[in-house]
Amino acid sequence: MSRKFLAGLLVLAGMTAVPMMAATYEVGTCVSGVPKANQFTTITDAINAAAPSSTIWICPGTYPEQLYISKPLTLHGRSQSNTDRPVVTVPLSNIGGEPGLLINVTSVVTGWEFAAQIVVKNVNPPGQVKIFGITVDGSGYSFGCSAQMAGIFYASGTSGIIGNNTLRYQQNGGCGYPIWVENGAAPVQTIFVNSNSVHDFGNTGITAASSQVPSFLTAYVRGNFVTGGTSPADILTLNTAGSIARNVVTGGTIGMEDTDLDQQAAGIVIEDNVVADVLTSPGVGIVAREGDTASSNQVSNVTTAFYLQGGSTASPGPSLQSNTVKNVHTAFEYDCTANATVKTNTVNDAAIAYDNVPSGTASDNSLYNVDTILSGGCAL
Amino acid sequence: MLRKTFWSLPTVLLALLVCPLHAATYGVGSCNAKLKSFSTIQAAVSTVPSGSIIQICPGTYYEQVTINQPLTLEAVTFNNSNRVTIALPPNTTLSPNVGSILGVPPGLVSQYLYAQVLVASVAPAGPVNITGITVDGTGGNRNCNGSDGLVGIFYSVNTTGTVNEVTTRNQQHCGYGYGIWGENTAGTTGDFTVENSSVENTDDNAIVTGSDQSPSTINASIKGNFINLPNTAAAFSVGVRGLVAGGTITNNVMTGGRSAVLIAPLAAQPQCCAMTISTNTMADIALGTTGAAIQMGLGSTATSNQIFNVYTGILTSSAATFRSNTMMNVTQGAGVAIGCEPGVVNGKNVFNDVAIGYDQPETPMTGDTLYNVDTIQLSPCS
Repeated sequence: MSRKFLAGLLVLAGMTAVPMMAATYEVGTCVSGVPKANQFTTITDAINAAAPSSTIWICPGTYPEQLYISKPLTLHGRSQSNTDRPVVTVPLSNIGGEPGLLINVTSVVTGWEFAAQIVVKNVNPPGQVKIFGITVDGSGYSFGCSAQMAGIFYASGTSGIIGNNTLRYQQNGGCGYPIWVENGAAPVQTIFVNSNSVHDFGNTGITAASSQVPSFLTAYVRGNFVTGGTSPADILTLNTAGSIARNVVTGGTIGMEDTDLDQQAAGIVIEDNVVADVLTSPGVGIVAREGDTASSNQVSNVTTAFYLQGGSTASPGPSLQSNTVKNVHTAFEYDCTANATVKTNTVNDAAIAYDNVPSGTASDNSLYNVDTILSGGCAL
Repeated sequence: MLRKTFWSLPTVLLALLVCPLHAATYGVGSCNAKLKSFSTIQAAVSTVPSGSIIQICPGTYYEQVTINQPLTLEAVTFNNSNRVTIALPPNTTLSPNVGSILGVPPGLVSQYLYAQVLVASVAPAGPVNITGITVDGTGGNRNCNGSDGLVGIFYSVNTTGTVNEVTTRNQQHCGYGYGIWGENTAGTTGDFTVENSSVENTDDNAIVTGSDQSPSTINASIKGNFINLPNTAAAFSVGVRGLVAGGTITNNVMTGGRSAVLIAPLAAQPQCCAMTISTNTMADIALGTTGAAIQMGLGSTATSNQIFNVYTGILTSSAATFRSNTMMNVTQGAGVAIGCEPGVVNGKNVFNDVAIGYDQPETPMTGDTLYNVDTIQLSPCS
């Protein structure tokens, strides 16, 4: 083969392959070594231009954009001089100049329409989408509950990581969901939601949901701080596998809830979380269902620390072990859940330790400063 | 035969004399017929031999309790309850029963406190341990004179002991209410441990520990507690206040109030002693006002704490070290306010969602991981 012919082949290969190769892009100018062709002023332009599996660095600044990600990518916030906060905000709409978002995704789990500030869906080729170190600010958008609002929405069939971000002001008149991840049919997807700061939202801070039994979504919700004010829930998992671990949640009407469809999904692990100051009615720290293992959580200053669900004589209810409960009205609300395991927990300062316990249930926990140890009952 | 009788008679006499003085288990209330029991806690602690265990039946005891000998107080479970509450006697004047070497409020000049449970002048030397009791200060907002305080449990100078799985609540006394307080002066260094307790709703510091000596003569261990204070602008609404105190503050969950931990010197001992503050979770502090989750004393160390939703995360002091802490949602003040203090050491902290990373660093700080920080270095001093 002649040298000239070989060179010609390489050029051809380069022409076809180079645009498809993962590369580094930036929005703004804060990263050295990024070619000018890969520099953009909007995140949307960078996403559209980037080859799959590329990294897009986002320089500090305010980006009034609604983002649609349909290829594997990494979005990464970046510092510049003395600041380190890239903020995605709600753009002004063409109509009336008010902050506006398009409805851009429908949940396969609930059927609800969402206007998501960042939506990840129809990812092709398949691969992970990772979002690190950016702020998603929902200020100004309030269309009530005609559609739901999300900060970051991972639609069915997507996977990846949402890490070290700030989600704030997804209010929308009580229908705001800062982080929502879901999956429908097979294959199983895995999504990590790690170390995010989530606050000032309308409904639920972090939601992970699967529409199928058994679950096709493995969600790891770890190390986040969610403060819910008087919003309904801080962290909600529906029919997922995976874990809720090492989070700190305060406020809201429910700190963290795991639930499922038709009481058929295997449980998840809920461990090493701190839940405090959940006092807005009903004021439940952790809702655990059949198959869940909740261990080494610290639940303090809530109305009800643990609310048990599911479970029957045939299938095990939740297992609650080595948790610490302080300053609550009710430590363990069985709600007549059968076949639950509640042992080696420590309770200090409760009006009621065990409420509505099925007869014959044995518990072995350390109780201190409990006004009424056993209350209520279950007619079987 | 005669010889045997001769020897046995003194033995019986000796037994009669000595047995009542042996440490044993006694009761308060009528839930355990097998124990020699008293109707009040004070009668029990005044009467039983040193080192005894006093098991208290569930119920509310409207008493002020003073303990002058080593003892263990604990609650028993009876009739579906194990809540033993020591409450303020109604319709009585709350006259102070103890002075503090630290001052009331701590660090100031007034000295006197009404202690609901007072551990003082303990003889013979030995620990006083309190487990599973509730001390409730409801109704304490009376007889205020603007200087004296109300405290749930007070360990006075030269006493030691452990407060475990206790609940103190509602010690409010016109801004001078305290949950649990231990202090020491010159002499042998004493251990003061508060663990696994729930300390709630005081209108001043929840837990106070300190010494008027430098080096400190108190070795405090404040661990595994839940501390919740009202959201208030009151300057001294502090979870744990250490004044010239040595020891550790670990694994606590602290919410509300103006500050979670404040380590400070006394005017007489400006070279304040260092404490270690680690693996605590602090959230929802100084809302609607200014304040810092941790105010570090000279040479103190803060490691692996989680600090969320506060005005300022850490206010450092000279030669203080803060490492491996996580701070999120510090959206008004600074993650760390250095105030140009020299010798501050940092590293491996993670900030996310912080308005100001470092306020007045002596020199710009590096070595931490920052996400979503509006201003990284504000007003570096050099």
